[in-house]
Amino acid sequence: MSVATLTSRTFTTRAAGAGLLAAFVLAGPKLFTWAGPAAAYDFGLTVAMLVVAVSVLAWIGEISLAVVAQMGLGMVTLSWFQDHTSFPLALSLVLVTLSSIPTSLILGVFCLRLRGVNFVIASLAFAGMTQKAFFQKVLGAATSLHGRVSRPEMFRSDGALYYLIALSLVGVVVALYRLQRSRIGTALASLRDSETAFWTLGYSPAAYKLFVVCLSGAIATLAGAYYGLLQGTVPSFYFNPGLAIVYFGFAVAGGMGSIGGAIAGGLFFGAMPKYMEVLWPSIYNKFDFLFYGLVALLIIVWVPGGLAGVGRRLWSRVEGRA
Amino acid sequence: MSKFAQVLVIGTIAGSIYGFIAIGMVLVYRTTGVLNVAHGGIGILSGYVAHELIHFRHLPYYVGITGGVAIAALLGLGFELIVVRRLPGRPDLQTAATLGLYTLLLGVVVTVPWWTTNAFQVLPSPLLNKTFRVPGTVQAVTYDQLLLLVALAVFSAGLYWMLRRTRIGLAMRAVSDSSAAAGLMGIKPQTVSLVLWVVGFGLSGLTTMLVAPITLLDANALSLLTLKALTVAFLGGLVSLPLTVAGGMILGTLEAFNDLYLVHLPDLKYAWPFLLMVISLLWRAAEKRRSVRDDAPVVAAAA
Amino acid sequence: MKLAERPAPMNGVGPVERRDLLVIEELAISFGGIRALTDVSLTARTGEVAAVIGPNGAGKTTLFNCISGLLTPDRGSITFDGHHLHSMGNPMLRARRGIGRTYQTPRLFRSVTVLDNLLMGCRAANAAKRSYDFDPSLRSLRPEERAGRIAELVGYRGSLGAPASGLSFGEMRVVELARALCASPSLLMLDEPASGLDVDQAQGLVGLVRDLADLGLAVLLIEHDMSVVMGVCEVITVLDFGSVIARGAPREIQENQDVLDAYLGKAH
Repeated sequence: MSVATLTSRTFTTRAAGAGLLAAFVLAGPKLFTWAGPAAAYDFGLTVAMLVVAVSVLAWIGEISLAVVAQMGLGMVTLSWFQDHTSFPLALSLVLVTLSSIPTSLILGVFCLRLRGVNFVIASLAFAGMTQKAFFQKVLGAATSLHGRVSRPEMFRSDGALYYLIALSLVGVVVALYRLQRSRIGTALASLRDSETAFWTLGYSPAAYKLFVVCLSGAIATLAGAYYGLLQGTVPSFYFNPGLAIVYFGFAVAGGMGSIGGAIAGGLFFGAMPKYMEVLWPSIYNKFDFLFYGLVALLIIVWVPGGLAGVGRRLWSRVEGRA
Repeated sequence: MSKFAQVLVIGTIAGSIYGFIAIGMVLVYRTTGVLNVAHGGIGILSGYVAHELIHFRHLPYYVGITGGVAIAALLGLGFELIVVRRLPGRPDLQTAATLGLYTLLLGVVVTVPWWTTNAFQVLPSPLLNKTFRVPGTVQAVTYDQLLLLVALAVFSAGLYWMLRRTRIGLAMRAVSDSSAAAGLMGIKPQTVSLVLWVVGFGLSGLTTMLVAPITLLDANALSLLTLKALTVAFLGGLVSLPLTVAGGMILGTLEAFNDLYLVHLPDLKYAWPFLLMVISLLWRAAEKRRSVRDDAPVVAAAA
Repeated sequence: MKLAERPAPMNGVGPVERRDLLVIEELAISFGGIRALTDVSLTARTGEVAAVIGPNGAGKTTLFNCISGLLTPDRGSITFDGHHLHSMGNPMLRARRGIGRTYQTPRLFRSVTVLDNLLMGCRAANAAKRSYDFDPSLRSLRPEERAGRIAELVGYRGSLGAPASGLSFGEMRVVELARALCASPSLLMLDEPASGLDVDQAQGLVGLVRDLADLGLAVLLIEHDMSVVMGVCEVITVLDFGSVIARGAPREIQENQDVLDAYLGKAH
């Protein structure tokens, strides 16, 4: 396949865009110190990572509301590693991510047997069950130490933690980007277009679906571990299905299946409320759900493809393409 | 023996709540192809509106609940006109929209400060606190609970009959199968769609009116109920009204069983919806071999 | 329509040897009380073009779905290349053994390019270590070149880099056929390949199908277009209401009373 020759305008806009993005990533929370603490930005990043996990499932055409449960499990698992081992943080994070595979496989089996709304309900039931039967007891101030994550000295400040999370997120994004453009990406697109033809051509839909479910689970679990590092403890009711629905709304707003959209949506909807909490506390506390619901509805009905769709159309204009 | 009978009684009552909420969702799904996740949220809003009318404006009970149901029906009208009409032929996006609506409704409820201050609000149904004892057990059952059970039987039988035997039911099913073909047969898909959503949402409101006297008017409790109702709807395959009702009864009975017989395993109670789904899934796995999969995914990834 | 280059016959010594590749015996399946197939037996041979015809609803596509493994029959056996196919169908394994097919409505992968569609087929062939017996010269080519050659073989004249969603209907059909060929099948099942094509395209298809059989493939067609069927098929099996009502050479079928009754109604 020949690569289309880039006009010089396209090239300069892309270079400029990449430069701006790199500067934005490096500067991070320092840009927003006027609006609030760095922790708000960090929070936005973990939400962004989780929304990426939700959006990735769109690659096989499914929605899972169990990602929030996996997030919680990530946090609890990291806490367990901190309590029972003296592994350095990096190793713990890797192990926590790997520990997501069993739960992902369970969800994966449901994904193979169920389609569409049935799978959504199953994932919701899983999330509900995990919340009530597990998190309720393990998390929260009144319970034992299991639900508490402590921060190593190196990341004591929220600014330092930012670089850790941001670096991970960049790594995840690059990996996903490469994946989308690889043979696996082509295979996933084919699977989505026609599972039957995919199957009778000699491929296994099950293997690819399980892969994507495990990928989504791993990202969600890692996001949970970072969330634990950021917050330390959470209320026992935190990782509940309602939250999953809200994050799903962010994924839709960002544009399902689009990584950039997921990050934009997650970062915006994750960080902004925290900044608002500082700037206008009275308004934020009451109107957050109202705001999320309204925005999600507006985007679903009027803005096809979410923020990513808008972004793509704008970028095409800027680049000078038809 | 009395303890076992108690399990059955409690189970049937709880099951009737789940079943009633679930058939509302199944009805909408069968006729529109959309899973109305906001079903519970609409109910919550109706409940609070009724509460507002009865408690704060001191209107009679029946005016209050009619007002609540009317608001729900109006919401259905609005949703159909503003959202559903703009997303024709995309039940997946419409389902996503109901998720957004659910979040929005929860937000609205939280915004009105005087609604959520009193955690244990009760809709003062005229039957409140009047009980009778089920013969052969020590279990007391309130008349509200009995009313719900009767209403469940009436509604599910009625809906079943309507969908299968009346012309309106036929029109609804025709539109859900193929609105273009239905249009050619002289059925106006847009009118049918409007009726479906108004009725579906109205039913949500009505459900709360019957359930709230039993379970108290609390957003968290009603959210949990919605979740359980969803799993019950799943047990019925999202299409079968009788299986949905049966599923509700089974879940209710299992939970009551857990409470009374498995006292040392209190957490298992919350796992039953999920476990039932697993069992149902295994049972259905054998059936799956019979049909060729269709290719349309639920979520269309960003173009 | 000509082949870009006519490769030597498989064994180098002339016409292809006819051997039984697919043997179906007494296949039966029913869903929801309807007997979709009853006691269906059929054989497909290498080098031969066979057709399955019958009125709508006769069970033809159901038969293909059973062979592909998408449906599991209640009774009967399917033997492919000497191997008995297990009752638990696995479409992926059957494809890898060499059963290829196209669909009544082309099921291309529309979010990717034509080349990607073809490469998906080539990669499946590589993974299954299939050897392109119908054209050994393909073996030494890189996947992209192989895809290009097969695209030429079927008569696709457009650009390989074109998105699959932008093709005309006729192009979609040939690309789907090319994709199936890229997976190096030994049995090719074509479900109504001529429907939606104009007269010239249908004639081109006839030539192509004949060439493919001459290269050693076993071809099984479902088709309504009688000019295609009579023009290229050597054996015709007629289904009606799920049962085989006739089997034989085209001339016999044209004169068979049961077949006429099935198509035109018993009043005749």
